[in-house]
Amino acid sequence: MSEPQFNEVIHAPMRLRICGMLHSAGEIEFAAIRDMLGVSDAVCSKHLKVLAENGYVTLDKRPGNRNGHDITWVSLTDEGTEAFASHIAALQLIAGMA
Amino acid sequence: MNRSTRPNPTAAAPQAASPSRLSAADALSFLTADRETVARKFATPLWFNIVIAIATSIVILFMWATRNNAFDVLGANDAYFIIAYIALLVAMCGAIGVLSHAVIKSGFRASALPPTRKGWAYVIAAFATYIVASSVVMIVPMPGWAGVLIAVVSGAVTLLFAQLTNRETHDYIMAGGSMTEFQLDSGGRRRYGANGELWTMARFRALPDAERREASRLVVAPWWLYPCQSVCAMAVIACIANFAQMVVRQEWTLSIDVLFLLVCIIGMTVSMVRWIRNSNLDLRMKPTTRVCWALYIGMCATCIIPVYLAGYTLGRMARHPEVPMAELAVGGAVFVVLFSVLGWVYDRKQRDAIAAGA
Repeated sequence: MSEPQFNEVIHAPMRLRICGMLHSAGEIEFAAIRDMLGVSDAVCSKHLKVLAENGYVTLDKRPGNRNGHDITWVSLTDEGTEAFASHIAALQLIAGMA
Repeated sequence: MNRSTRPNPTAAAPQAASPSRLSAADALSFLTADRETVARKFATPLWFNIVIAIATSIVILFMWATRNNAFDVLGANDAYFIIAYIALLVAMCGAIGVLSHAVIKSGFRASALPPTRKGWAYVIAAFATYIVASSVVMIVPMPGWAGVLIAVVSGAVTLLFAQLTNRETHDYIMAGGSMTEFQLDSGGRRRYGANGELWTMARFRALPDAERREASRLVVAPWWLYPCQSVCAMAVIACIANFAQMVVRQEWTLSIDVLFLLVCIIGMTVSMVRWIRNSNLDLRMKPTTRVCWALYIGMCATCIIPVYLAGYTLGRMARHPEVPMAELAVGGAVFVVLFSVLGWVYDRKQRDAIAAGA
């Protein structure tokens, strides 16, 4: 059980959902994250960039099976996993107190 | 990534939360909805589970039919049986191929092991059901209706356990569990292991020429890997065949052979897995040149040999419960030599192509 610690970076709705999906699924393609969030490439990219700059996710480009374009795979780092878990613990604490 | 710009996470949030922020409960409900979507990605579809269950029933029916010489009544011979067996394998592989393609297109790494003990218990129970049912129909003489009943029941039980495994994985994810460490080809855990980042084609291509030529040697597997893989495959066939002969003819001295083969299989598997993990190579790397593709397809084609030998052994042993050692030895030797030589050449061609910047 992680120590509850609210995280302003992760708490933004889109970033919270991104972290949640990555925590559950492990590694997800950029396009799949974008489709699940229902946002544009630019918006999704912006949020992933913020998370990457904070060391919470990694963006890995690999040759893809579609049209020869590279595909970006996203996954949580160990630090991101810990920060997300702590943030969820904090949210559960808050929700319990509400 | 630049960590110096990271803002300090604030603790004791309630006082810091502004009215425009998502409430904690809303945030958690968003996560729950997303978990449901993720959980669906990790569940094998019902159609797939039904295909596997039906295939399981048909295989058991085949076994009953060969045990009771039903194919003789139809005027068929071993060739028909082998063709039917291979056709069934192709159909099952086709279903798995369609499912794998759908999983890859979904953008998730959804091939995963069961995340809980209960899930493992369901998977093992499904396998055990198949093994027990097939053993019973092979060992115990029984009328047609009994064989059909056992086949149908085992298929239904397989379907049930598959659905239960899906439910277990679903519940695990909904409870907030992470599938990262259970993924079969997890990029997460291996990629940031002690040996650093995974060696992907993109990583090779990103290197300067001299470094790339040096690093390209990493794709060449040790000389023993391909013989080990092919010998292991043949050992599995031989082990199952010996076990069947041991049980049917009650030749319990064969238990020594079975145990020896099992130990060899486990040892070889552990060695191969250990090397593959430590090599940190991206196993999804595709062949780079036409020659590499031809060699790769050739390696895949040689895998038909053990499939044929397995079917042949099954058919032969259904009539005469004695392991066809000569056929297995000769066929196995051909497979090991072909697979190993093609594998060795493939690695070197791939290395040369990467070094040349292909």
